[in-house]
Amino acid sequence: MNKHIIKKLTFKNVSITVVCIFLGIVLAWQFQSVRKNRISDSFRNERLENIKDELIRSKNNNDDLRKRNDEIENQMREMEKSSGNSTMEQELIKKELDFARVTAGLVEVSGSGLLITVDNGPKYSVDDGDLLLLINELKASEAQAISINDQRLIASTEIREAGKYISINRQQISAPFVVKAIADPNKLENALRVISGVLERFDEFNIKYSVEKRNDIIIPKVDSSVIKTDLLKPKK
Amino acid sequence: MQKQKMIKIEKATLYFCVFLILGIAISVQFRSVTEIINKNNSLKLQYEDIAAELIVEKKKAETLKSNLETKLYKRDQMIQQTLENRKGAEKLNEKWKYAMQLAGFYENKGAGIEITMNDAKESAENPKYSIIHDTDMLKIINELNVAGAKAISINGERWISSSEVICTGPTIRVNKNRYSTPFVIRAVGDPKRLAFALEDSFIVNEMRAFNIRIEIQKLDYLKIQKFSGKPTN
Repeated sequence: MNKHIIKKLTFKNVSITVVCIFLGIVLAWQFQSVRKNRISDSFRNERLENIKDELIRSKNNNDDLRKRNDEIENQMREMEKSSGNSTMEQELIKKELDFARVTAGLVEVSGSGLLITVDNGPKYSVDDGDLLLLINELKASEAQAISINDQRLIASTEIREAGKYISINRQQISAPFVVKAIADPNKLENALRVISGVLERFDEFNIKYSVEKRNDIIIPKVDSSVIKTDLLKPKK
Repeated sequence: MQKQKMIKIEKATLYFCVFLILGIAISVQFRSVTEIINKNNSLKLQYEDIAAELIVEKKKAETLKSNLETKLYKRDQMIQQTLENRKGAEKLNEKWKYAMQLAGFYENKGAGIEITMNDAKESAENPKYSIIHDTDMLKIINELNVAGAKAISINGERWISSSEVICTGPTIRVNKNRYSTPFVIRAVGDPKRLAFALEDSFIVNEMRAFNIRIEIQKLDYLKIQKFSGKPTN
């Protein structure tokens, strides 16, 4: 009789234990899957956000393209209208010519912007890479004209260490470097001072620098003796 | 007897509670699963919608770009012709061609090199070293300029005085447009000199040491597109 009760009780205990273990495993499993779901959810949301951003960007880009298309079309229409009228024609051409000359760096330009001085630190001297980074940062924040020690930067400008000097437009230049940039001064300064931006890098290497907002920046034209286009044939 | 009854009732309450909780848990779980499935489906639909729209926008961009190219070409022809037809405009004509060339507003062709770059196939211990960065591109452009390149483009974007290269996630931004790998840099110039300058450069050797794939091809003839956007100045 006693034995029988004990047998019954053990059976009950064992079965409850088994059920509880089973439940425990299921619960842990469930917990894991909820966590995974949440991670994949946030991943999906991120992907969705990314593609939304890309869509907005390409829409803006297309708007710009449309505007530029209209602009050129208007120019052509005006040119057709003014054909024969040489003063008007000349005006139009002059405008385009000026635009090309400014982009090419063939004219002196002035405006407001930043005057940045960069000098060697006690242990580290400024190298070509530092200047390249700084210049790229300036361009990315829409600097419209840049010079280093009065060498106007154009498409074919190189910045290259050459012994004690740095060669820019094939001219030997040494520290301190005076970088001038014409752009919205506040926007430009913010871009430079951003976290892990180029100025933070300068701090890290103890490079001496100063940034000054000025409204009387003058950037000279490129020294035309440095330009060579003898290998190029404009496509007809 | 009384005691046994009490135990029985206690047991019953216990079972009741346990099964009640289990029941609630299961139904909550069930609902959350169906919710997740629904949500996933709607997210997926939303994603697909946007992806389809993006493809349409990209196609539009292509048409707009090619329209712009044609128009710019026509306009430049018109200006050129006017200058050539007019008496005494020879000097202005020279000035025009010179400025347009230097600004990067003409398409250029000639001998040169083409550099194709891809991230490393397998990531190194630090994945930072296995992908191509904006600074790498900058240094390569700089090497090409040192070696006397006359015209340069990155994935078809003409390199002009205001051009920038910036990493933006997995893509790079050049002239405000985004491109992903492979990055193709083209340069007009003396092919031998350009290729040698790159093969010999620190930056290319460093990138290759991290298994970044760089192919340099000398070409007798290549075309470099003109800048067709509006520079910031």
